[in-house]
Amino acid sequence: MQLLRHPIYALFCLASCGYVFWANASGYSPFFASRSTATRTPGTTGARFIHK
Amino acid sequence: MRSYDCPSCGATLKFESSIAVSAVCSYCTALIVRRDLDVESLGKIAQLPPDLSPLQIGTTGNCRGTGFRLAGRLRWHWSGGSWTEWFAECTDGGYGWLAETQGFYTFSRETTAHTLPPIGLVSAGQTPTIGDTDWEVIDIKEAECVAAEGELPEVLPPGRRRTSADLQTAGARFATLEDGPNGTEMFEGHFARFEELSFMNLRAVPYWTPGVEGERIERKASTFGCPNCAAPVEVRAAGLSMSIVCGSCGTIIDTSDEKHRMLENAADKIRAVAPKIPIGKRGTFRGTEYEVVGFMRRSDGFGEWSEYLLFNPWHGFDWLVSSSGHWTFVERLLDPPSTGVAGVPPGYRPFANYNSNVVGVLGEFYWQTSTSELTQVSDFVHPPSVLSREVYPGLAEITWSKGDYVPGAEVSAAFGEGALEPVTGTYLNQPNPWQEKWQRLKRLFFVGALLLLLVQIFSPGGGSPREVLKTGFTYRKSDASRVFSSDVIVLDGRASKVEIEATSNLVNAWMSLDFSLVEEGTETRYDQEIDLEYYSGVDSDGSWTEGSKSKSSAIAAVPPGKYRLMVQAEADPKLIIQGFTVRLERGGTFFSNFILCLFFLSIYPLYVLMRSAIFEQRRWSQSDLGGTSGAASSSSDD
Repeated sequence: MQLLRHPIYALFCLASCGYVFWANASGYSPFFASRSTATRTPGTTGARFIHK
Repeated sequence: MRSYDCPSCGATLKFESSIAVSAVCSYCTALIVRRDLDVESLGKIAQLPPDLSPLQIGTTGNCRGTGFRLAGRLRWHWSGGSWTEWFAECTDGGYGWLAETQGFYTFSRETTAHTLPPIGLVSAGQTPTIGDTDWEVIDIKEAECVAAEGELPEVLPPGRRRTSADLQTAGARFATLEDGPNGTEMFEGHFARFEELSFMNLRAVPYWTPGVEGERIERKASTFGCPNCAAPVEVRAAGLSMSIVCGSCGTIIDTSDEKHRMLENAADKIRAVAPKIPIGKRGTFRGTEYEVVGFMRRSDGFGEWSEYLLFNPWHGFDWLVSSSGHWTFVERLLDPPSTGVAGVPPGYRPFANYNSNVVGVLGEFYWQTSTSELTQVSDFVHPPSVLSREVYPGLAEITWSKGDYVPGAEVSAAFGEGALEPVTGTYLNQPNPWQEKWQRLKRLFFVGALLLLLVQIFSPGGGSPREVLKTGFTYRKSDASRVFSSDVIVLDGRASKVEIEATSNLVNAWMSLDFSLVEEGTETRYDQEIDLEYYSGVDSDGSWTEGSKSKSSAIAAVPPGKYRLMVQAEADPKLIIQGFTVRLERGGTFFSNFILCLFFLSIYPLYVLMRSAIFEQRRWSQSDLGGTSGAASSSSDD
């Protein structure tokens, strides 16, 4: 009955649950962006960092 | 049953009741008393005026388990009106009285179990204890028997007068004290509505009961000439109506008997009003067909409102009250609510105390109305209901009524579109639509939030994070690059969160660490920055610290692969050499996803609650008891 009275809100609840499920499964968070940037510069990596 | 010949006209007179000692001859209206085998006439008695009562001699009924049959009736008249009392022969061999007044009934039977006060010592407003019961005397009056019909259990010669006091107490209990030949007599019983008395063998009510062919039985003439202007005045609730306003000249006329004396000239009060629902309009409202028989425009000094008196011969009287386009259906309570020490009915909140006076008046009423009528009203609200306690100065009578908010559409469906007017403001018992919305929404909100929490706890990736790196580095100011790299870290499984924790034993210094988690194959970088600072000291307030020696930050959705953690360090110039440790954890979930979704889920419920609070604030701003302004419960109508 509750679902029928507020179908859009109920869908929103389900969508939120789906989002949390997906985000947790993929380790994603909008507040901790991965900053995944492809900066492939062959041959330069070793020069930029000095291994301890 | 015994039959006699009427000593007055010779017609056959039947005594069906074994209790009855007198009867009125239906042919010549002589009051006949039977004595053993003989009968005697005490003279003629007036016939009852035509009325719209659905009861008749022979009607049967049942009041709280006591069956009865109506065998006769009396009409009593006093200075404030008149009423009918039916002689009810009970199935247990005794008898009682069924009084018909103001659209409801009282059924009472004589009780001799108590010591009773002399009627002369009883006054309205007293609260005598009789037997084990605390009663309240609601009125006291001297009445005269003016008409009779059928059989009667006592001999009441025409013109017989009596003093009686009406009492009430909780549980809709009713009693009458009367001055009898042997002192005070008490009749005890209950208030009742038509629906509670299981009547059978009712009579057809003129103009109300559908006839055989579905047509209304023609109304018997209940019209008379105004004693002031001679214009025809039609009584719509004959028998129950105690006063009527002449629509032509505004004279208020006494309709409690057929003398129709003038009570007051209210010409200025009828010019001031124009009811939206005309007097005489009929409509079916909440399953009952009503006729609008009276209209009052009232004021409390701050605003005005309209009151329509509705009549149905079986159901009695009810009210429709209109204020600022808001409608309330009001029924009189026969069983007043318990109010406790505070005087407030349980579940209700006091809203306003005010004096109500008459601004305009039209139609007829079940009491002798007056334009100077003043009522002290206390309203208690529990939307959509309102309980009103009305006190009439000069009378000890206190009445309670219960109103329920009615959508305007319901009123217009019953009485036509003309009844409606624009709705303005928030009314005292108007249901809060936002509160209703919240009531419907809250379960869904809490279920949604719980579901969200369960998903957060049990979704994949929700396992405990595991440490994949713990290593230490040493920052040296003298180093040119100050860049460090970890060993290769193997991150397996699915893409997930990586948390970096940096710790350094700083003393009044800072350190800024730029991390890059670099995938060895693709050289894809995942950057994060942690700034550490820690200061401490002592001042006049004592010792203090600021900052932290350890901080962590996370990188989201790092796919599996072989990585190195690169760190570029900057530090306070005063630091020459400073060690720091870095710890990496793989796995776990971000709580922020849950918080974010919970926030979005809460927006609409919070909006609804906010609107609900605003609505209540507007309602209570009109209250002189619970709000902030001093205005009374009503607001301007037109």
